[in-house]
Amino acid sequence: MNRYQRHIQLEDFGTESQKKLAAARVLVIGAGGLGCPVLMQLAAMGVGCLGIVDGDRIELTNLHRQHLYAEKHIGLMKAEVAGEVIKSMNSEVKVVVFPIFVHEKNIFSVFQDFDIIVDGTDQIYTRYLINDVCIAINKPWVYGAVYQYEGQVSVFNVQNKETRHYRDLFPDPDKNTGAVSCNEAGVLGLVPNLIGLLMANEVVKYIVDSEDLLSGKLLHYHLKNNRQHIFHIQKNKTNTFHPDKKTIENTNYQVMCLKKALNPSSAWQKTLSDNPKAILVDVREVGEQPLLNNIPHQNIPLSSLENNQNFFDRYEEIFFVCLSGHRSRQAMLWAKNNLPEKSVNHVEGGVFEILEYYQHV
Amino acid sequence: MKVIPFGKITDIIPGEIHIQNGYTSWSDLKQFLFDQYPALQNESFMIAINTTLLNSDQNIFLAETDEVSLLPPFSGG
Repeated sequence: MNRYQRHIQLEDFGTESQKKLAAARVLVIGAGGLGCPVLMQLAAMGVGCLGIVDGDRIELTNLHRQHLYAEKHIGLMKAEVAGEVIKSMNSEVKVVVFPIFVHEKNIFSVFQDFDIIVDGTDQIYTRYLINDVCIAINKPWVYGAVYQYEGQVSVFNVQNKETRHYRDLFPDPDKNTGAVSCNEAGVLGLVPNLIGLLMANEVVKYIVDSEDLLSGKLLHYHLKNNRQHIFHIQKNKTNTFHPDKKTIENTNYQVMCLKKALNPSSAWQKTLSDNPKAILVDVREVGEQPLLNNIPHQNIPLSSLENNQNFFDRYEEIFFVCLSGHRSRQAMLWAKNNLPEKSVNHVEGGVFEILEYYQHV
Repeated sequence: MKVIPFGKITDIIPGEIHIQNGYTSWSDLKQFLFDQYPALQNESFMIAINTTLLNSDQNIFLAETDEVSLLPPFSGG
């Protein structure tokens, strides 16, 4: 009996579509909340080759939503474990593992052997990077993103008349300061799983040449009330950015997505260099990208502040930082209540404000 | 008309609101929303009039029956 018999007996799917799946090469960027369901579904359905890109390690807080991983995998590389689990699910699938994060310099070589790219990342600058590379080398990509109980899906850069880009949806990279990751905002475990299934559905539809892709459309799903909206994305006629390989390689996408108007009253640079009793505290989870390498700081995740209260005894001034300024604001409010004798503040522009500053000194 | 907040905008406008003052343009409605919810001014979002997404800087005329969705960028995954 053919493994894909139930596909083949679907009249408008059949052997021909199954062969297309077997010949397809799909690259999934990020093997996290969105990447896991996409990978599991595409592997089970018989996609011929799956590329898995992720430079992260598995953490306990991933397990409620990232179902490729079990407790025994904590601390291991996501891409490598995902590859092994996928192989054990379906040995016919060829798996290519990239245990790295994509960046401006390596992304072209990672993308080159694949037909379609799936974005399962959780940072806004990576989405602009994926978008621009896909335009430069003419590949379609499936977009998905979640926030707490909601999620959205679209397909960009398909060669059809409805085709749209991510920059049509969100034109200004430096005006997305409200966009927060799951680590910051929290997420109900099944939200990325549902959105990931919808993304996998778009991948399959693209591969088998289905007409009704979410190209030029944004599907939004709210799990609290099961409301769905499909919005039509207009072409952004004012967009003058035409990415090519050289431009992308020479752009720093993290800085590009930085809030343009950094808070001019932000005092952290001066205080940290002048006052030996001032400390920069990164309240992100351990290992969260981008790292503050070679920048003096202490990493205490927001959830561990309470247990590390004694750490602050030797300091007078504290600056909290996180990815977007969301968690650092919470940390500041915690410190104002719990460490009333200290001077506390936070870096509104997040780690990118710090990185931007240190690049220029 | 109906205003529907999405994503992080629901921290500011907790749910759908129905407005009967007869605003005829997005810029008038935006001013009303900014007055009622000052924190909205610090957020970036796209708007959709019914099912068509537009940049929130664009001005557009509104009908009494329109649904106006406020869509901030999503980045979780």
